[in-house]
Amino acid sequence: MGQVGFDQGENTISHLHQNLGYEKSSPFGSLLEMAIVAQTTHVSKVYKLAAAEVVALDEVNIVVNEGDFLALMGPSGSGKSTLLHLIAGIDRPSSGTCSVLNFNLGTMSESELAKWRNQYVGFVFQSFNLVPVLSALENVELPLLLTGLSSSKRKAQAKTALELVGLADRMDHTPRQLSGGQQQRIAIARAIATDPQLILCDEPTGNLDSVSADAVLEIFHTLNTQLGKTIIMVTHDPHAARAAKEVRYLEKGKLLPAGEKPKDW
Amino acid sequence: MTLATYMFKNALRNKRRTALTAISLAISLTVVIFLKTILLQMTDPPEPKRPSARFVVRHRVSLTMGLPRSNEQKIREMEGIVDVTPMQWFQGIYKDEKPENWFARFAVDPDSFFRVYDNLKPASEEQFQAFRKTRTGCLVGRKLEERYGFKIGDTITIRGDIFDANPELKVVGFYDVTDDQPMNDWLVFQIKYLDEMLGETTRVSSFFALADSPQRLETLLPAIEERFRNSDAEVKAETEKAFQMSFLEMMGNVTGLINTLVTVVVFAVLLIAASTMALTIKERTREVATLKALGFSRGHILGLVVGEGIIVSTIGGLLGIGGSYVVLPRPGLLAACAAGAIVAIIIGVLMMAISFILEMKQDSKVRFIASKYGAIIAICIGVVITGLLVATMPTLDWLSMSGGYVMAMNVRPQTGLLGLGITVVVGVFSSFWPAFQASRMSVLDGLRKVD
Repeated sequence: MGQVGFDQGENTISHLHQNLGYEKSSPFGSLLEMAIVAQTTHVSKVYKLAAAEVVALDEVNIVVNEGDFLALMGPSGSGKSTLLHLIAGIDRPSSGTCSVLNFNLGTMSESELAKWRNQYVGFVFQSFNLVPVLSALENVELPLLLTGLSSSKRKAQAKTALELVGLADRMDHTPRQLSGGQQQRIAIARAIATDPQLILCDEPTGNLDSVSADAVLEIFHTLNTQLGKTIIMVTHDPHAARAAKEVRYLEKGKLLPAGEKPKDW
Repeated sequence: MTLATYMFKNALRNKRRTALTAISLAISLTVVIFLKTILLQMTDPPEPKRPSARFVVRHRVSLTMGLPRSNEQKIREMEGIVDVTPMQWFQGIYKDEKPENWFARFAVDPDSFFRVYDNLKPASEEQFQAFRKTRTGCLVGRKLEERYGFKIGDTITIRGDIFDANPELKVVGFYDVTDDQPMNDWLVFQIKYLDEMLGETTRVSSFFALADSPQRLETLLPAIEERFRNSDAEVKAETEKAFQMSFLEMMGNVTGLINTLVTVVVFAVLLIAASTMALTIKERTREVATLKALGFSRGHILGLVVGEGIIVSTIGGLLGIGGSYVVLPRPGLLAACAAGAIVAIIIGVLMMAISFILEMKQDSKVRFIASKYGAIIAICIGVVITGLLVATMPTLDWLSMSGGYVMAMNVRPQTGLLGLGITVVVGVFSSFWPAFQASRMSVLDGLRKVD
């Protein structure tokens, strides 16, 4: 895997925690009790299209523990992205319950979910989704605008996140001035800027060449192993999935038992 | 970075679009302020700095139906009257009928005129005496002296249009205005000369009179009307301001017309701004969805988009209101700017057309220049034309251009505030619906549009 600049290693990682000076209570109460980060119970998602009904997820039960790095794989339309969206609270299940970081997402309003995402969840998209008119630093600072941190603390936090992904020297560059791989690393910095417990990634290497993809996976590996972040990653790429600690497969909306793959895979 | 910085950066993201939206609002606001200023000048002319005890007595039915000269004495005898002077509006044509050669011409009685118009002072006692003693003499205001370069001894010929008389007047002096009243572009000549040309003692269009105090007018004006009730010429006695208002009434429902125009202009610019904001937000569907995924609530999205709309409208609003304060009092500059803007728009459209027509010829230098520098070329030519016109155009003033209806076009504070109000309304209402839609858009729908 490519070197992506973790030279500052331990210091940078500890700074990310230290710099986050706003009140962010742990949803678990005591860290010692923390075990299950995300849990779905009999979750189904049915889309109604004209006369037809499409079952995107069918009675999915999954448990993701703290410190897991889970890759969700499966053919197109298998429901892996739908499952990720339900765990992120940007979609709601047709039935079943979805509990993430001890929050029952089904009982939360839109605004509660938005605030919850900002505090506890980092999101990495396939197509980076950076704001083109903002610099790298400002893009990373964006989710911090909602935290109540002072301007200087926000900036410090964003810089720390950029250092973590090895792009501190590009903080003044706009997305157009950066390569795809660099843009995705900025997007990862944005996802971890609020120091979330859970990072959700939707095809994070899908738009990257192999070298850039390796660099991104290296960052995920570090976030998982050194910062203890729980990561759930949807991917088509077996190479990317190998970076995860565990791989689970979905087929036709159903979660296959651990260790089992869809036919033809 | 703050949310405000983010809004500013968004507002300036597409500079050309923002500039065009702001300019369209600025032009519309200038039109609105122009119309409202005209309306205010006509319906609510500026009050003199000190309350005036001067008032007007005219025929109850119409100004065109004159009053017998004998009424002067009857008015003079009433309690509270200090002085009375007959004034006959002569009108006529000087040189030609072009608006720039319009100015007020009155036939007056020299002695009582300057007693009643105590704010007008002949330049010297000699000139006043010359006016009194010269049958065909006339005095002109300083503004006319400046405009035409009149000198003592010059002859001014006025062709009569209301009256069958063509007075040949000799300039015997000038007068100054000692207060802020816009009366410095009148020409006054002896009413006796008019009588002589017409071969009779004419009826006069009005008597101007001076009461012993402004407070007296409340009782004096009805008393005068009562005095002439059931006579062969019933009168209307009114303040100078009410007298000016009566001219507006002759023009029909100008207020309604102008307010309708203002509403149409505001509505049109609102639609333009709303359409632009809707397009802008539609282009940013993915970004809005991303923001919501990052934790921005509906309220945040609504605030960001409306804030952006207000920033764009504020840029246009400040341009329009500031420009109005500078340009409207100067009709020459306004005309030059309007001409420059029209030329710039025509050239800009031509450049766009050239760029579009030659689109297939990628290597065309003309197309390259038209598409890359078309806007700058158009603006530069517009500015040059404005400058040339300002340098060469004769001095214009609103009084002559409006045929006497508008004395000046000074933008009043309430009109500026109206402009600000329109700016805020356009900013909020143009962006509210796109903002509302964006705030309600599901994250998933927004992300799916791209992914």
